[in-house]
Amino acid sequence: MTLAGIYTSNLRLTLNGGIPERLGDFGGVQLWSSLLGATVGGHPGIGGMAVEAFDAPLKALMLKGLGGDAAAHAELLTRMAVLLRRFFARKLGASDQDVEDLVQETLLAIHLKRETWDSAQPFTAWAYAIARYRLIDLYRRRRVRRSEPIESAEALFAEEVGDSSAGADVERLLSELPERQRVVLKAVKLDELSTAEAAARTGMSESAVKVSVHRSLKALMRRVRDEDR
Amino acid sequence: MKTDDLIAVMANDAKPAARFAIPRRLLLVAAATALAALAVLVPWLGLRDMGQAVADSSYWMKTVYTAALGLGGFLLTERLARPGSRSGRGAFVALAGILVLAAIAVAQLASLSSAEISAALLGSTWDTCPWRIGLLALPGLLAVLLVMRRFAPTRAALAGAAAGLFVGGVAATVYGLHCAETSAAFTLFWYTAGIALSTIAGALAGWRILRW
Repeated sequence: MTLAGIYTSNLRLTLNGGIPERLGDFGGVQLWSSLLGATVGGHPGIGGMAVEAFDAPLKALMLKGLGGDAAAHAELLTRMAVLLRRFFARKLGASDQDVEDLVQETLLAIHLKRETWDSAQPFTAWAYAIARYRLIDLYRRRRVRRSEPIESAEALFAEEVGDSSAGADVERLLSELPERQRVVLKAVKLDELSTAEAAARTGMSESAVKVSVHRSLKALMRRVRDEDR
Repeated sequence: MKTDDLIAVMANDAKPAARFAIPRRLLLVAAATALAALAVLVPWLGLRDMGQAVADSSYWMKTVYTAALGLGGFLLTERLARPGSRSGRGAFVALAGILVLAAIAVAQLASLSSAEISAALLGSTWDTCPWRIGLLALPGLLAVLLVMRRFAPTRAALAGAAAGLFVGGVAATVYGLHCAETSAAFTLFWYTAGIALSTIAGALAGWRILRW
């Protein structure tokens, strides 16, 4: 399904009028009204079909991804990026610099902590809990930041950064990775090489490339966490 | 890095994931906790006469009680290691254990004189029992917190407390291999106090280190 397809299916859900009161073991109302948008917030308590319809495709992708299906995993993360971007934009304001960083942090957690999803539970409830946790963490980090002194007067003249999807924080964090991991990550990401091609280029074994990529992702998440501590 | 690039890298990193990763790792922790506690207990305090112990219903009462608290802690930890999960039945199991033991303790004490009641409550080791259990739980507590850091608890202190209850119950069960106290009241107070030490330590440590 394309991204536009997801959008319209969400819309259809909305028009059909429905989110249920509860969603399994989790706080369902909060989840659906906030991950899907304010439009559906006011219509609780109508049937379980809509939840099924919305969660089922994501759940199916997640299950395939857990089985090692890279394409399904990419599709899931791409769809989640759209949902998360809207969710965080609603919470922080669309132009907030931190929106895209939060999207990336949440996607990293969805990827690295995927073992903690219980497949007997809705996928979206789990993903929402992670998104909410990252958001609360941001509020906490901002509180810390606010108490710090202003670095220099140049900040007054700094231009508004136009492209909020640049993920400036993660870019800087990336530059702090060890050389080896950075080279591998750049090969895999920028030049879209397969693991085998990246291995050939960097002179590492294929499994070493895989380990290196995984470590880089973990390092990225750790650095996000350790900032401002 | 653009989000699309990040997604491409993560898709590249999508190896098949282990199934039941959380319960499996926690069971390993339970085994490691028991072995570590035993390895400390045997040279330090020694075992009681186990032939006599297994024929004694009070040994089984203590064992079932501490194992129930450990099981409750396990179930709680297993839930709290996941984002957005409610605590579930683990708390019920632990609470049921405490209530049942309290009922047995009351029944036992009802027929005793006040001097006997005091003896049943304090035994001969009340002042060392909780500390020993807490100490025996320490290696397991380290192990369970390290394992929990790989998971994604969204309530750090609560998850740490559950982990402390879990390993505290296991360590107290191992301590029962040494301790020859027989009364339900003693177990209710001092074994529970030992497990509570582990639970509190878990909550404090979890609050510090289980954020991600």
